[in-house]
Amino acid sequence: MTHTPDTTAPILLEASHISVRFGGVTAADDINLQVRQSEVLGVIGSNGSGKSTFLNLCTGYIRAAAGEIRFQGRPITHLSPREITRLGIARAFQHPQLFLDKTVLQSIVLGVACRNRFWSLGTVFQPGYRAKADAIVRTFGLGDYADTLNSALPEGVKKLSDIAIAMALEPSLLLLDEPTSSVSSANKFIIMDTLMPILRNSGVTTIIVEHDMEIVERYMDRVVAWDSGQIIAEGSFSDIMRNEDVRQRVTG
Amino acid sequence: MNQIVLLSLLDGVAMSSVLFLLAVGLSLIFGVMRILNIAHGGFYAIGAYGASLLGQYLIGASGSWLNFIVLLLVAVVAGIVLGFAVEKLVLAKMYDKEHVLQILSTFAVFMILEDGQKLLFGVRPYFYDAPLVLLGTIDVAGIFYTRYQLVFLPIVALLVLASLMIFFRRTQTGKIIEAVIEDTEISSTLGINTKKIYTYTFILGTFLACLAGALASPSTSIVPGIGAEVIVLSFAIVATAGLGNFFGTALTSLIIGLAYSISVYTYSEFTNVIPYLVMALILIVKPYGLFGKKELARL
Amino acid sequence: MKLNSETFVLLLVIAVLALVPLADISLRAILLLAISLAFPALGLGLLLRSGQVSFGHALYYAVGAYTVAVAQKLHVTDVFLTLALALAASMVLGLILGAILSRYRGIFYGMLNLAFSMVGFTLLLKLYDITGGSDGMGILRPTFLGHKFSNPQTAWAIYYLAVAVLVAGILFLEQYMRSAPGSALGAIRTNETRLEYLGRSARQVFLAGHVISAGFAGVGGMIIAYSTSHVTPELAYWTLSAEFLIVAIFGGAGSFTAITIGALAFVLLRNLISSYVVDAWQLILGIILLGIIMYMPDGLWTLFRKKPDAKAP
Repeated sequence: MTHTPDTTAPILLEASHISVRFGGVTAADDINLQVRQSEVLGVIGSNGSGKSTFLNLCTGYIRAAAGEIRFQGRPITHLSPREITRLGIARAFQHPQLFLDKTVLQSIVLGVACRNRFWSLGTVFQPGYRAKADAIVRTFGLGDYADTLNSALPEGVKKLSDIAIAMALEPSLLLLDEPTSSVSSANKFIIMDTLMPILRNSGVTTIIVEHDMEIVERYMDRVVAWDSGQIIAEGSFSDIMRNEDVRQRVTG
Repeated sequence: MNQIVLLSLLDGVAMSSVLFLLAVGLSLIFGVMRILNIAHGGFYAIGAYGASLLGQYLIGASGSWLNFIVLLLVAVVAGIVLGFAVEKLVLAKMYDKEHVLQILSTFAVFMILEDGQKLLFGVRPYFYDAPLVLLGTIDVAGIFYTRYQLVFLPIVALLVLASLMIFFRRTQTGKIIEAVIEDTEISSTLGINTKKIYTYTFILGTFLACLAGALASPSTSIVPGIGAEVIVLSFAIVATAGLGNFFGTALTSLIIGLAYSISVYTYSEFTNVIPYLVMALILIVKPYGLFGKKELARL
Repeated sequence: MKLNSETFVLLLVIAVLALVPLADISLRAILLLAISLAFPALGLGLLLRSGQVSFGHALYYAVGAYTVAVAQKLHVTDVFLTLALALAASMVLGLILGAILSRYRGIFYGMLNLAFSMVGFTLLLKLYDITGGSDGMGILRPTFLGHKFSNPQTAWAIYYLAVAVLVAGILFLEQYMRSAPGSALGAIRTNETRLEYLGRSARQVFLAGHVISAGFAGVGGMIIAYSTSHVTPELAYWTLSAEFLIVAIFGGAGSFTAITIGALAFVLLRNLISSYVVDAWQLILGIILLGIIMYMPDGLWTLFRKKPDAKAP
């Protein structure tokens, strides 16, 4: 499932000297990170290590106290979530953020429509949007749930629905926050086995925050380990696991 | 100029006292039950009619210290009876329904109360100022003011404020209610009987509305429609104060009461607009009200 | 247009509106009143899709009505012009106030709307020279593209124009909810944050909804102006805003056709009750309203439908 990291691929996202402080706590301390096109980057770290902070930074939910983030060469450090999304970064959430009174298909169609700058008063189920939405439903294996309300979905399917709507935006960078948390062991692999081919085929660059080391080992190209607001190790899973600090402070 | 300022301040204090009693009851009900109680205006009106009527027929034009007992009694009895009835018959059935429907149900109750008043009390104006006259006047820098408005009303308002603050900070029940205001979901998982809390809260709120009406009755002529006028003003105060503490509601009532009375003495044409302009201005600067806080979403 | 049960009901409603007055002319006035209430209720119905309630739409209703009166003072009597002006005036005001209002949700949105409408009410009351104060202003017979008809003819013309505009309005709203902006408006109801993370401004989407709903209320006001030949400041009072809300819920806020049926039912019911019980009709109506809210929360519509479906077309 993993690829060898392509070190010649262009840098899509670059964080330089990023610092974030919440009151007295340093959530990010002089962070430098480069993410290359089409790679699947795993972000690991114990709770409070700063990994979720980094995700929130990239999507504009939090402001950095210092430093800069560039996406496709363009600084995004001070942009709002909406502006950042329009530039091509999409995210899914640890607690799936869904439109509870819409069906899976209705939400995805809305997601597809949101790609366009201008909206007409034509039906959102117009052929162009409909075809794309159907394709997403198909590749995500959500066919049986297409006409089910988001509120009625089982847990694992909710996660996929959340990711699917993010993918409807055809982003260049996808950020996933613990996609396999709160999901049974069997479902974890189903979710990832469904997701990975979609990511590979579309070539979308993905950053995945993850707790489950088995998932990290099996699916991530490259791994970054966080602790106390700092990146303490970077490399392939096996490289990381040889690191004494990582074993002590992250995986325990 | 000083005269005008003084007049406005003194007038404002009386008005703010009544507004506070109204607003705090409404705020309580909204804070605990998340229901915007339009019927609150109806309870105010009933408190006013009741106090006026009973005063007139039980005590007569000359008035006596009994009047004040009557005022309180009307508020307590009406508050308990009406509050209990409305909560059990109507609201209890609405807790699982959407907010819009809950608000509309209180509007339906308001409609019923409005006509109920007309049937019970008729449409001609009621006027009974014995309690006012009884307390006499007081000389403040050359202007004569009724002790009722200048001293009695604010004292009652302060007493209520103090009682509420003590009740909510120091007693067990009070703290439980505050917990429900903070988070209804967690409260019920903690085993708090939220249904009972709702009933008590609503009765308390209704009592305060009736009290406000009873206390305001000696200084005004009571006609159909006062409930409608007053409810919209109370909403403005509750929204401006934001969801929070009683002190905040008291302060906001003072601000709006003073603004209102200052405009009466300066630019009286648009006095009715002032509370809403104040509200709009405050909400523009502080979108969750003066003392409210944003409820953060968990992501 | 798909032919399903709801389309059929809409056609039925149109038929009733179009044909009943021909059978009994005394019902025309009350049906026109129902139509004038249906418009602001439809506007509120649109807002309800986003989960928000306004307690101040009587403002736009009054603006629509007074626009007709003011236009007339300026010698503009053509009904199509006054319709356009009423629509424009209420939508422009909706845009200006909406610029502030669209940041708010829940009780604050509801109350700020209320605040603005009470300011409007007071202005209409106090600006005697322009608005005629509490006496209000009289409305004369409109002209139709330069033609002045007789009184009876004008009355018919106004009625059928109202019906036509109502149908157009319902169809517009249904199409709007099928479109992307409409779907986004509905998204605000359950997850505004997610909408922002899809790159859209929830504020702008909501503003659009607010402006459209203001326009609908304005058209309602224009109709009531011609229907009663008189406009007064009471048209902006908050109890009327509450009435619009009642009407929106009465038939069933989930469907625009249902809201229209609700308007008809409400007006007919109120008329019936007040003719039998002159002094306590509000009480009876309040009880009936409670009954509907408690036992038929989806409105009268639930009497006719089996189950609402949320399926994609």
